[in-house]
Amino acid sequence: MKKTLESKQSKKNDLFLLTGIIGVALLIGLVSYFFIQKPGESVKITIDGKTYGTYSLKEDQTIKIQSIHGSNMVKIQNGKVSVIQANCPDKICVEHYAISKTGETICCLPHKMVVEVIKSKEEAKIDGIAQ
Amino acid sequence: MGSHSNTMAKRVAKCGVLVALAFIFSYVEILIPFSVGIPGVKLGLANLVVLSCLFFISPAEVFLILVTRIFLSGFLFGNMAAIFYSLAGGILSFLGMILLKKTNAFSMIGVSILGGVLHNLGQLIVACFIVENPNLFFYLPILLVAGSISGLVIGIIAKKCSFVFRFVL
Repeated sequence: MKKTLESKQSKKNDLFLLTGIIGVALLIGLVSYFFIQKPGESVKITIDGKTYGTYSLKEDQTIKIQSIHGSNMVKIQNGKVSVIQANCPDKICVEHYAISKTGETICCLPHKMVVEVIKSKEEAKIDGIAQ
Repeated sequence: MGSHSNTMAKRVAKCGVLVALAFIFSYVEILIPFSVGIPGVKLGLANLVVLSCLFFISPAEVFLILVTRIFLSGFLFGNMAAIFYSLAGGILSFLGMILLKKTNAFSMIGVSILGGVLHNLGQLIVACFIVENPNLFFYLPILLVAGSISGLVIGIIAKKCSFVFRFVL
């Protein structure tokens, strides 16, 4: 009898844990959706944490990125940016959906490359000076 | 001496079999073409072994199995970076699961959920350090949900399979 009571209690606790974690995730998600994610204007590409280049989201273009880690092909189309080609082993960056809002990132871990949507080119410049 | 070496041999054999099992699960996971376009979202089948073992053998042995499995599958299927991610995620989730199990307030499923979430969190932190860009935390909400769901699934499977482990270990 005691055993079943205990297992009932632990089931309840499991449920609390699950809803707690999903609640926290939802909260962070909503906050970032409403306060951080805005339609972006530029794309910043960094490799090893250093800026490789900043490109406008308004112009459709294909950017070839070459670094000591490898190469990636980034495509900007209809205000969205995606990675279309890479010679990394896992291809997670290529499978990633196209992004267009500030704060969104696509990263290629093997190549230490991050594609990041930012507000404007000016912001990137200020960042550059601050660094 | 006789009985001592006997139990030692038994423990080594047991850990060896469990490493092999976890290793096979890592391989099966690679065979399943499961991708949702978000990095880090996966089932974590190998965690099934770690989770089940936590309830039947000593934490030190589980830790050994975990680390051996990560290095083996890392060298065979991945690279040095993959080993770092797996170690960070694996060790953080191992510590979290041990602590949660110690409270005795949660079932195998609850322990597994926390394990899944901490695994993703550990990998995300290492990823941020490797690319030197903290903006990756944009993925945090997705990874929290994905980790808890995969933890839930693994936990349910582990609970269903626990009679096997109880019988064997």
